[in-house]
Amino acid sequence: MALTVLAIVFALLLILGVPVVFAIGLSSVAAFVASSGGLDMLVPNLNTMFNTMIGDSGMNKLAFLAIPFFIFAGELMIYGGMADKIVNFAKAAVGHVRGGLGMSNVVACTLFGGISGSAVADVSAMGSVLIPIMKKEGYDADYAVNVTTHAALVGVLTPTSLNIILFTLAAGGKVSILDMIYAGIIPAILLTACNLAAAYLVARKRGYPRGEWPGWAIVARSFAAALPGLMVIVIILFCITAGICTATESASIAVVWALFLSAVVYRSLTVEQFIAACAKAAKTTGTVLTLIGISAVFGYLLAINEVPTMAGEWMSHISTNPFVIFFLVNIILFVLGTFLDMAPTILICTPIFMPICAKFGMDPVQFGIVMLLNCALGLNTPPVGTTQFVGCAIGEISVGQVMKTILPFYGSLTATMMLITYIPALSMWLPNLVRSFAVG
Amino acid sequence: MYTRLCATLSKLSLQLAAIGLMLILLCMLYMVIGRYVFNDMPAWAERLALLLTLYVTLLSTAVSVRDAGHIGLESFLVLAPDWLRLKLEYVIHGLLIVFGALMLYFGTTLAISYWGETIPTLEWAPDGLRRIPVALCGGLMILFSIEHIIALVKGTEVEPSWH
Repeated sequence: MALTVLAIVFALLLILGVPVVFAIGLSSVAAFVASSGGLDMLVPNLNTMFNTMIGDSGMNKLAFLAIPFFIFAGELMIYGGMADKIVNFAKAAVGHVRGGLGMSNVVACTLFGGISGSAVADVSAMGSVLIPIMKKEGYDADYAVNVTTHAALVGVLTPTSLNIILFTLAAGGKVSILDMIYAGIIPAILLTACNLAAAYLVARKRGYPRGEWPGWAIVARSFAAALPGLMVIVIILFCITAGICTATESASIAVVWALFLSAVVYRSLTVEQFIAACAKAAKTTGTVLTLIGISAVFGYLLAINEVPTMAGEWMSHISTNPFVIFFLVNIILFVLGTFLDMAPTILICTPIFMPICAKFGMDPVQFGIVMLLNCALGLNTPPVGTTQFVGCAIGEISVGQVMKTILPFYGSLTATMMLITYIPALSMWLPNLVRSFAVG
Repeated sequence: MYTRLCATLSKLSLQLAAIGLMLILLCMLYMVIGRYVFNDMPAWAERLALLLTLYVTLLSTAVSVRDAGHIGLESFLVLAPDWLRLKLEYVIHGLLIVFGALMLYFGTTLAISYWGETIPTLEWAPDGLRRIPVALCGGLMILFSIEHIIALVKGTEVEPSWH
């Protein structure tokens, strides 16, 4: 009964347009009302609900603090002018091949995604620089938007990705942050290669021009200018891998590094921009951590009603072939990802689908990467395609026009996802290697 | 007058949240410095950071209610005809008031009932302090949702007060 009420009320509230966080909260309240049978039980149940929300299993966990710091570091990098330096390097390095600006866009978005850890921030920062330039140079707006929005998705797999932290938390301590960070590296490289291939093939087909080779000196100089910003990734990886500090502490060091770079080295961060970055980081923190807190209540309700077990049994009835099960999970995650944003999809679906995939032999770390890629695909798919909406707004083009020519880029993302799903080594080799060194 | 009150409360809340975020950052850096420089792992810094996180998170959550910053599935709302969309928006803000009222009530009663206990490693801090932000967020959500309803009636929009 409680489960039915939870599902129906949640779906109704979502359709109604209630923000996801409050849809989860209100449907949880409705489920408690349905299961309590009277005020005597309802009041303690709602006390439990709000205590869970702010408790150790909700938003009050030290590991969660990496999220605001990653957001904060990303904001400081954006305000600090890192975007221009990365664009200059990307243009110098790959701007000379056919469709050079498209290729530069892919490289720049990938590198900036590694720093900001957010696909949406990546599209906003890189897109606002590169999309207008591409249009001015004669590239079609749909191509410019598709290249940017797909390249930006690499950000969800890179070390500063807050979604990696979210997944490890949703996995309930079964996955380490370090494993996830390393597991994302090869898929990120693979996705970048696929994005470059798609951008190149479309550029050839449409006859976009080649840029001029600027010479190694310019490439080296632009790389040197971008390098301090890119060091954020190295700092985080080094601090965690060497055991110097936790993911949360390394994220706080990344903030200090970003602040030092923007304010002292590049001298591009004003006091007003710093305050704006603080405010924006605080706001995003509120949105994400409250969602985590409320989702803990939702997860608690799903667990006591044995939803993960029921879902597993249901899928076992359909097939016992792991290939079919993984394909089904991909389809379900993709469909949910098109309607929900990344954070709620990760928080709601991980406790349900991770045990199912584990039962059929998929490592939780590999599942995490598959989950992130599915959510990334959802970010570029209507009706709730956040990065696509931002890209279209910058490119001044409708979502419909962009969707007409999305296939090569979508194909590259889907191909990457299938490879990651069915070849475990792509996501598991690097974390296993690092672990073997640590043990040795 | 009411809009100005809400704008002031929203701005103050976000400013406090931003300051709180900086304090959390200082706590984390102090933990690293304490461990490597002073050879001391200050447990209070971790607890203080967690306490501050609740205030930063829930104050910002309330501000995002005012600034329409929460993630939602708006596509269906956008597709609805104007007359229906307006009615649905009243319902949404009404539901937010209900949830805000629950947060205000349960946050207050929980804060009172936990006031006698202290937060481990922060002996000066009553455990009830961890529940106050829930009540604060609930109260602010009610005020901001009412502001949105008034704006809908007047046919105006609620503008973010700060950033």
